[in-house]
Amino acid sequence: MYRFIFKRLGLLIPTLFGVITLVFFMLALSPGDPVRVMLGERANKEAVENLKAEMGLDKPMSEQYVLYLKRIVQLDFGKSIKTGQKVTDEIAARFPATIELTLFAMFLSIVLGVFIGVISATKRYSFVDYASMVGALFGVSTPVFWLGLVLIIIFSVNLNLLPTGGRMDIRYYFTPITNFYVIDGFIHLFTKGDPKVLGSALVHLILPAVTLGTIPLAIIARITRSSMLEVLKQDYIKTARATGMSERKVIFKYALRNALLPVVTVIGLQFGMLLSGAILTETIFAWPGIGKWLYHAIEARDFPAVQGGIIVISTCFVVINLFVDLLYSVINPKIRTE
Amino acid sequence: MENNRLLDIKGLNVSFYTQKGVVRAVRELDLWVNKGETLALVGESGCGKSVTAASILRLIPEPPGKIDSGEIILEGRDLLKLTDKEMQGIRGDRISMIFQEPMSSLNPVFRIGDQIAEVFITHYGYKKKEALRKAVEMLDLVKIPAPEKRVKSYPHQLSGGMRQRVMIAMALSSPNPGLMIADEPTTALDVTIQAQILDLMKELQQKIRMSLLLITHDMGVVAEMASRVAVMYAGRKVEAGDVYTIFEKPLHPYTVGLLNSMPSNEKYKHSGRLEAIDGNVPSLLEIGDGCPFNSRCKYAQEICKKEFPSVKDFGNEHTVWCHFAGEIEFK
Amino acid sequence: MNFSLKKILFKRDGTGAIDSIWYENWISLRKNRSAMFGLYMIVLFILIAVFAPLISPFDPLAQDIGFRKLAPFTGGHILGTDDFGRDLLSRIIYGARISIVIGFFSVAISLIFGSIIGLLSGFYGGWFDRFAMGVTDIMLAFPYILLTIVIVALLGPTLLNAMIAIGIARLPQYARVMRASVLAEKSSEYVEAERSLGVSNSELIFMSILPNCLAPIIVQATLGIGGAIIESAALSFLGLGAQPPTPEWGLMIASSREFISNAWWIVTFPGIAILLAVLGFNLLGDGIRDVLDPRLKD
Repeated sequence: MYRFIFKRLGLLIPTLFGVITLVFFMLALSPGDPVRVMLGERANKEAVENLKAEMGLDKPMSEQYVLYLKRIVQLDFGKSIKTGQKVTDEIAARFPATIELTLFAMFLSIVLGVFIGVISATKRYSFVDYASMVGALFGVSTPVFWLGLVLIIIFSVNLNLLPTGGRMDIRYYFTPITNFYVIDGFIHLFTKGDPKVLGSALVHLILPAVTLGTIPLAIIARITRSSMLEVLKQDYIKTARATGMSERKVIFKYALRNALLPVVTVIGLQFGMLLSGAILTETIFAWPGIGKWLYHAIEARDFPAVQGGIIVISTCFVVINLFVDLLYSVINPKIRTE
Repeated sequence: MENNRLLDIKGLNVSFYTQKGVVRAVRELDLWVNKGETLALVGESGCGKSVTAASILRLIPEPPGKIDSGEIILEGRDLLKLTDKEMQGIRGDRISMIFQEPMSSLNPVFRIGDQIAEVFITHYGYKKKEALRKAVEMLDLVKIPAPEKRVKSYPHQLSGGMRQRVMIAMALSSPNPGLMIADEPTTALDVTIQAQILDLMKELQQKIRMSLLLITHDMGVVAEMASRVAVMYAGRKVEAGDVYTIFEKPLHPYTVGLLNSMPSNEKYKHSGRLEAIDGNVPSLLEIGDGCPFNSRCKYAQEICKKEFPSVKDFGNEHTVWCHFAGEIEFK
Repeated sequence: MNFSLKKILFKRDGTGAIDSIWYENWISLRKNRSAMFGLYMIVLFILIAVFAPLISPFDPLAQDIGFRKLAPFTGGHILGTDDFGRDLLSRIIYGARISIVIGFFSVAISLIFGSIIGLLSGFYGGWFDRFAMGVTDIMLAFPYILLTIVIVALLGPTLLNAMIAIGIARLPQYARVMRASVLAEKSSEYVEAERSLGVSNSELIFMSILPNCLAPIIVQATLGIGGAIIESAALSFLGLGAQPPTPEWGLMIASSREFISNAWWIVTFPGIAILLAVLGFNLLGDGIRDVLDPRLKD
């Protein structure tokens, strides 16, 4: 197992390097002049030249690349053209919001997805099975941004049950400590005895989390079901039953443990996809996370911001995949005992 | 004599209802295992012997399979009438089963010690620690070296022979061993390991005084282990008797054919040629009401296609189902 | 090279009955009701796209300021109009054309180039294999949407570039799948036997190895068409794909975000169109996968 871990960790650096390089070329080779974007179409030639020199854009590509690498390694992503703030600061401020949303969505999709998958597999050909598989099929075929809008139309606009966006009712005042509003809500509850902050945080999370989590839920349910069906056909399940084990134990202990192996890999993949899918969901729900920020940055052609955002999100993606691979090698005894 | 029977199967019919039609896997089967004896159930793949074994423990997948009718009496109770929970009490307790493929019969993500311990937890109500200690004892019983260490291994770390020993250990962990059903226990193993496993089973059987229902297609294994034999073909029992009689004077053409094709049987080596039985097992979908062997039987006649033979008793519990048993000498 | 597609597809055996596995698979597929339903949906979808000018009640681009944001079933507009007064139904119908092109074009790029790379990688190995796998690893290290964003940013935000971006971004998967299949087939016994008989490399590839590698690729491609439609909608939503006034379904949803409170139909119906189109491809793809994957046969 350790050999596998080292190999995997060893791939981390070259992969990140590749990611960073690719982003560099993306922006370096894209059409349009970043300087003109920054200064506006009617800027005079001298100002353009000056800014170019200042940003090092008049140097040859290779030199620019080296400078770029040096900056990135120091986590200096430059300043946002739109706001003038350091990109790193902007990202850091919005990170907790995205993480909070992603975790909630993930939690929902894993718990419900696995549960539905297991029930479908064990009660094959039943109504539950057909209904959930049809539902899952629809889930996988739905564009996430549209789903969010439709949910808003139904639950916010028409039924007025849930807010249309944002993380918190602006009327409530509290001091964000962790910037994870649910945690802050709990803190507020314990220190001031006021549950409204927590309540508002949760209520605002519902629609975005459901939207973001629907597709992973569908995928997880499907793969849990097929994995479970595959496992239940195996000989060792027959053996377990032949020893008189209760059916519940057979399914939830013996079968599930095996069935979850491929599901873990899928969950990891989904987590990464969610992080990047956040760009769509956050925009719709005006959720102040990295996704929405990146969306506006792309709209505004804010190159340093776009660069920084893509690198950060991609790095998270790479790290999450690495973590999932390592986790898989631990829980799969065949790899663990090599 | 009937109350010497530990397990008594009467008129068992098992079918599989598939998209292509109804497969009648077991038809009107009567079978019994006496206390303390080894009954060998012999036949080619697909003859229904494994389905019979699975039916005893009611492990047939309910769609598409179904136990249409019959009785399986174990010590006065009809197993087919028990509830699921009662059945779970019987499995691994009074009746245990070991399967053919030790490679895939053990759960790959649990240690073998834990898997054996599960039996103790299920049937004795032990706690984990106590159960694990018992598991080590069982590993010792089946002669696995260094059992305290082996208990922590995963199935993929063991050889085929050792895995089968683990299966036997699990089967023997029952509080009330009565019947062990062994479905082709040595087929997937190397020849040298086969002998070891068979010896182990014989030894343990005598030690614990269990009955053994041994399912196999290998007549050599039958000769070694069994006291009585039942021969099945295409879902039906065609001949039964004690092992000596069956080997000395087989009266059904299929049994004769089986014995002829044994490479190791001295009596049948006289011509120096192995005789295979021509043809293939008929598809169980299309089977009619005649003798199922008639398509391959050298001696088949009109009546064989139309009617399944009624039983012919040749004394000493030697029974045959063939229209011409005893009349024609089958070679 | 003794290569005939017709021979492979419609091989007949000694008695004249069709003997090819493709035909057998087709028969199995026909038994799968949901897959057939998906196929019918796709055919319907293609027909709508092809006959769009004939069945569309209005010109999709014709604006009618006096009739903006009409609710469905008013003024002769079955699905209502959008904020420029354009008939929604017509725009959706014409949108089918665009979606079909997107779906097939993007997948074609991934399929063709990905398969070639995977084939060469798997069959010849060596430095090409290492290089190709390295590049695909990096591409796969990117979350999918971001990769398409990066490529579109490189090329400029147009619908065509969006299609190319989607095609390129999915390419690594096809390459991987093809490579894995080729590697598995390459070491199989019948290939070794043919090699020892002196069969040439190209004949080996096309007649023996390739036909057996097509199954997973076909599944991936079918499902991929649906995926490409969603992905292009997402890119349009971000402003990086189709540009106004193109009646692309994703763009239609994006431009009507502001109207969800008073004109919900402008957002809802294009999305339903996407849902149905993708559903069709997913149903068919699942069905094909069930037929071609021996493990799933009960």
